[in-house]
Amino acid sequence: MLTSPSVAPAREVTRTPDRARRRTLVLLGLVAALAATVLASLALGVRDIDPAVVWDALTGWATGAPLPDDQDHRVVVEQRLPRTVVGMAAGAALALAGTLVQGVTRNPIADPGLLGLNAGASLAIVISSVILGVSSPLGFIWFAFAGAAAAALLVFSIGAGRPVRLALVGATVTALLTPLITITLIQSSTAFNLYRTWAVGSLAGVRSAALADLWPFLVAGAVLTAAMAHRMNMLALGDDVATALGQRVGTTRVLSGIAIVMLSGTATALVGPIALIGLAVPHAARRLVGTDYRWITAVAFLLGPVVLLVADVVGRVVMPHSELEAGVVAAAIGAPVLIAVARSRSLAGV
Amino acid sequence: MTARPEPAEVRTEDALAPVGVVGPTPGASPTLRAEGVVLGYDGRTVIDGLDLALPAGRITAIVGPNACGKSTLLRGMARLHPLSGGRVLLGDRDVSAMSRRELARSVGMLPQSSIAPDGVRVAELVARGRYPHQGWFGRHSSDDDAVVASALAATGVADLADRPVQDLSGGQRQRVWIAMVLAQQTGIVLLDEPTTFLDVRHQLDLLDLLTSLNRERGTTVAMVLHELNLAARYADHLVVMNSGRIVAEGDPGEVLTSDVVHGAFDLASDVVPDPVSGTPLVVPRGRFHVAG
Repeated sequence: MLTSPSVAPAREVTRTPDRARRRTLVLLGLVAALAATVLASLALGVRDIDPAVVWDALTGWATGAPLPDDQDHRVVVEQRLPRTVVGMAAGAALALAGTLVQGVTRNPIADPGLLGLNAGASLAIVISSVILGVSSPLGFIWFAFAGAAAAALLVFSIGAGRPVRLALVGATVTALLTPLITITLIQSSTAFNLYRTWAVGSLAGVRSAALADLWPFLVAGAVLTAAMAHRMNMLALGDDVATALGQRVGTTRVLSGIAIVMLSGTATALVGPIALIGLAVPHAARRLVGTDYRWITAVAFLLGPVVLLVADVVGRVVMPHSELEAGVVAAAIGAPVLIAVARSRSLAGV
Repeated sequence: MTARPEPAEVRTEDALAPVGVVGPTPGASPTLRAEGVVLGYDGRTVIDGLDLALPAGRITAIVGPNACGKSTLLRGMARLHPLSGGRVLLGDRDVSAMSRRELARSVGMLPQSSIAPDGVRVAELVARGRYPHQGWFGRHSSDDDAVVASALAATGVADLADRPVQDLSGGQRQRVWIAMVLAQQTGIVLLDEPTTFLDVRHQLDLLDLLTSLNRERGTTVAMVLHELNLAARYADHLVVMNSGRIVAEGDPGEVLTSDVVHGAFDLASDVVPDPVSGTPLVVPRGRFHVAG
């Protein structure tokens, strides 16, 4: 045991109250932002609906009352609610997966796409539609998930947990699969149309039924991410230090890989490859709460849904009588965040 | 090692916060011992059957030419490098039968390759040394806070607690890493070339600090060093290695002769008493500059 006379101010030394308060404020602010975003997602669109009506529709739906014959109520409950729920789930999943990928590879520019997940999901969708004739999103979601998992498995097994090798193998797998996708798409115009709507990254037309099937993966992935958060803190000090501190680094990598596939595979299958959320949200979280992955993870979990829903809502309102896909808007929002991070000195702070 | 100068001793004891009665007494921690260890990389054997015991409560320095396997040996003893043969014992327990976490509560190791994430603050980094004592989410206890504060004070970086690690000088940063290992509260601390990127003053500073920790807390210290004369001055037990074997080990005054230096480094030298400490001082010859 080490003891010293300076035991009394110990708490002050290790936990500055200012910083703790700031982190709590950030979390509270994000909860408020998420609530506002959800409301906006339910109220805004081609048809703007009064928040009071939104509330009526929600409470009516929640209490199980029969849906009144009112167009606004129907839009809220049947279209926007499922879309919002899917957006929240996918946003959180993409942000958590991005946090894990960056932590486990110690690579600040890593995102799930770097590990070949998007390419794997794309190829699986294309093949399922061309060869097996799958034509509905509900049908190809499982193929997308399997494709993402297969690609990740390949990349992790060859990359063997070495950060640089992982990135190289991920890029190679992506480079290898992409021409295959193109070649297959050129053969079939129906497959191309199907792929096009998915690949741009959109919340429009998503079916909550798909989420009803896939939600256990999201919950398991999120729980696993929470369990990995403190391990990431040690991993950030280097494999040797993490090992010397008593961590089984290989186990951390394998469990994180499983969580990444579950989260990112599901999100990608649901809403398409929306890259910049997984890349930008962890960086923004780091700016807000510092280097502790327990806080970064909590912030990413709230910030991911906010960003994806904002992107979706903005896409709905910027073009009259039409929509801009969330993937496009997310890119427009995420890019400036990344540029701001790159210009500051905290880029390497992974 | 009776030749240690009085002034240095007084200074280091002044600089340190007193240690409470609960500190381990010298020799209380079990001995870490390698028995017939075989270590290598990708099928290439670097060390083939080596025995070494790190005397409990003492300072051991391992020296030798580049690529002689001294870092590999230390890493093998800390279980950072897999053994191809032999075993490492902590007391009478085989460390490969212990969980990593359990080992990390007895043996601390500061490897050469450590990364301080950008933006991480000193106290935050040191607190991560508590990891082997914490649950899966790393909840802090008031005990943890006290240990971290004590580690910061012992290494003289308490004033820097709130500073980002990357803003510190090399010497300060190395102290912070040592504070992190101290926060791990292990009776044995292994260090792989802890002085490598430091200037001579900070090398002395760091070795004085490790000496204080050894004397005040009874911590067993073992480190790989490059600087022969500092190793001879600070070590109770000196291990000289070459080509994966131990050439000589024991009291530096007896071990460090010009024959041993020649055997290990293929270098002609004179060994004279260090005018400050009385320990051996190796004066290398080289091809030029030979007087008379």
